[in-house]
Amino acid sequence: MIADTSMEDPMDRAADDGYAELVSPMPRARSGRYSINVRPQLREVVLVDNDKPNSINIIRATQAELRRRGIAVRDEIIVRPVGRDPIDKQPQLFGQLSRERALVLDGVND
Amino acid sequence: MSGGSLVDAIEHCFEVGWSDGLPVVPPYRVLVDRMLDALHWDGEEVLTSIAGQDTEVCAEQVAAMAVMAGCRPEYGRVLRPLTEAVFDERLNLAGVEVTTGGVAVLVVVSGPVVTEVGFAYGGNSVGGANSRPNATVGRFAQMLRYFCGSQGGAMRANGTMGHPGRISFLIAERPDTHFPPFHAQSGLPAEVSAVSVCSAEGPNSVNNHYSFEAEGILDTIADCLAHAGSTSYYWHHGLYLVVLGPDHAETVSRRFSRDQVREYLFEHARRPTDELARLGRIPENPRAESKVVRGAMRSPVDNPGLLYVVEGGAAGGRFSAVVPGWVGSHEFISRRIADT
Repeated sequence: MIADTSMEDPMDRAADDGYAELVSPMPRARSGRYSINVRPQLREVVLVDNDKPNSINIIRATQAELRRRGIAVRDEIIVRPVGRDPIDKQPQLFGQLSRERALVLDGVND
Repeated sequence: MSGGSLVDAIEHCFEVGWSDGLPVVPPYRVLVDRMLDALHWDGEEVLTSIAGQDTEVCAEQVAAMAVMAGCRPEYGRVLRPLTEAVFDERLNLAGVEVTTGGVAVLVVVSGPVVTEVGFAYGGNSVGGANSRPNATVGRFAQMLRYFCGSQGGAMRANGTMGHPGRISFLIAERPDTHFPPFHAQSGLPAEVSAVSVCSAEGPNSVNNHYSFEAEGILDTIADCLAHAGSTSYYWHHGLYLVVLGPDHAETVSRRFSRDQVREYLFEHARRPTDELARLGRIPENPRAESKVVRGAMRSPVDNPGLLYVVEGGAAGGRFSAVVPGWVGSHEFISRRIADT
């Protein structure tokens, strides 16, 4: 049996009847320009804990391992107050990190 | 793109990333405009910005997704409140896409709209029901998740395993449900139609063909809720949806109201906390919010309000299903559907 392939193709219609243009479904980020400093101004590492299960243990182990290798690591570990919320909903922490002059290692996620 | 055949247009959608992996209906301008009319939106209207991504979503883009998913304009009265529910900040769309949990947007449709629009509520209830309204409206919700939470924004999907519901995941409640309508659990009046969403893992089938006592059915469901790998044991605030098959619902409803079902499951879906800790399901230093009590029995949820019940599926097989929510999904977000 031979299939009937003579079904009307909408693209055979006139190009101006609305079947010529495809509408993009893609939302696009509206962010303005921003800059990223990839070279820390201080030769020091600061660690951020994201309040995930067991993450503080991993961060503390990281701190100890980096020090064992002779890398300067700040004593204070910055702990994200609410691990489940996006960081831009936590403006105090967001501002603190944006002003940080050391190398920030943002910790463990799940 | 302009000109070319229908097949060319479908292939073009693949090439530019306008696809969930399956062929889409090309979002031709004439079809998108027709969908916008059905949604009663102006194409340039900004519907939302996605938290954490600085991304704006316009009505025209949402209408394009509805066309691509295969929805008919007649579904517009469902698609509009569904869009509003998916964009509700409580769903945390960007979070849904970055979690390793690999979850989908689960849609539940309830009330008179089920029969008015023609959603299927019998066999294959949690699997799309082989029905155009179920499959395409469910697919539309995943496109909102995918295009707005990931593809169009800054995030990438990070689900470790994922599940087939990430293509389409919609359950229509049986109109002859033994309990009040599903959306009554979210505080909406029983007599209205509603669409409700959460983010969820894949469904687990629960088989019990030989018990005709409510406790036998519910204890079996409780065991599924409380298996050792159940997601929310530690975080404790992710929801669960229990889909009662009509045969199970008939047995259970003879003894229990829906609220009593939720209480019963909360009390009986438990494992020893010490066993969970031994297995590694509880971290070494649990936080206070998770209320970990050594030596006690532990439920995967903090309270019975996190256990939702809906009736779906076909009569004739004594099955139910458990759908675990994402740990970040704390409640069903329900929107009333306007009458025709």
